[in-house]
Amino acid sequence: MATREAGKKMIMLKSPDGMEFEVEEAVAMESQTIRKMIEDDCADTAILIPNINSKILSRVIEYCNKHVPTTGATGAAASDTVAPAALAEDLKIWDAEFIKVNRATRFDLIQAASYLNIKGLLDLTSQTTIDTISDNSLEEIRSFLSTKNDYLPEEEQTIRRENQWAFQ
Amino acid sequence: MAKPAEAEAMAPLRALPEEIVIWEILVRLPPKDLLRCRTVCRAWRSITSTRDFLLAQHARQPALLLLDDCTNYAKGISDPLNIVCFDHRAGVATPDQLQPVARLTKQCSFHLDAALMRVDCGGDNISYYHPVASCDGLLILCVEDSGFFICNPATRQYARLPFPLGHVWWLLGMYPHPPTDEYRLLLYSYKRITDDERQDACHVLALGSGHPPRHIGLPDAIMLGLDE
Repeated sequence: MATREAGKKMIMLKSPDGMEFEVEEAVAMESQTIRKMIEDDCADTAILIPNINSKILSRVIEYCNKHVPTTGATGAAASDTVAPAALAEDLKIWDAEFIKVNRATRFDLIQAASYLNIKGLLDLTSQTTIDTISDNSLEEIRSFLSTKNDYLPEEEQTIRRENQWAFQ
Repeated sequence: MAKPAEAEAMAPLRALPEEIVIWEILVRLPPKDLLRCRTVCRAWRSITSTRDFLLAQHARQPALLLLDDCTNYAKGISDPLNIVCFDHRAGVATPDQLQPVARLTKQCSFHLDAALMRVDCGGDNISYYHPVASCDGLLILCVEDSGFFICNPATRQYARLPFPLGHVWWLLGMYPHPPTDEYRLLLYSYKRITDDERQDACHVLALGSGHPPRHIGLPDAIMLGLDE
């Protein structure tokens, strides 16, 4: 985490396992859930983030730090010397590295992104899961998402026939 | 910063909560993958058939162009015409990447083959057809001499609309009816009784209800601009 800079409002985020993270308000407000708390004045000193352990929360903050706009309200103008296209490309590469995690971590990140309502992180984490669904058989999807097949074989055949083209 | 910890890999796998699977994952699937996933289990099929889910899923899909592929027509071959869903996000597509979702031929009935929908019309020449209404991704196609069809280009499903014969029908509009979760069509029809006399009426058709169009009265035909 960057050291506190003059003029930047800092917010304390607490995970249920007792860790505290001091982040810039602009970074915390990448989360629409936290933004709402701040805007509604429900957050004076520290915000407890339930259900998200410190390991996942630190990764979420890492993501928000990288994705917080570098120009605008915060005043920093890092993009003056770098073309926007290059920045976007850099972010894409960074995202691809960020999401190279095991399945359990990815599922935790999806849940955290959903609770904190961070659209970019939700798009990133769910897309990987969507790709997995596209690339795998029904049996693999069931095992991947811990779902059991409760159709009778003939029922399954009927549903397949309804949308035959989707199985080709 | 934090790498995937080894301890995490050893931990027993927790499933994603069903709500997250449905409202964050399944809702983002493109139509083809979503149709496959309906075969995964009963619960998925049931929830992905609800109106709320379908509207949320539809809202996340890109708006695709529907093209009428006249290649054969230009070559002097009149059969078939293809209605193609063109995914402009993929850049310039080559012709073989364009998948027809509907196909207009001059054979004699409306039928479906494995991969695409086929609009077949009677007669020697291809009948005219045109989209006459759309709502939430559903299209109403009017096929000359064959009547009206409802078509979902995303799922490649279609159905003929049950309009009683003997009337001439105009489609005035299509709209959702939230209290019943139905889509409805507002229709205008007339029936010729004698050369000088005809019977005009307005009707509402609740799609999927299995009922014929319901008579709702008779506004002034001239006012509606539908007089002959």
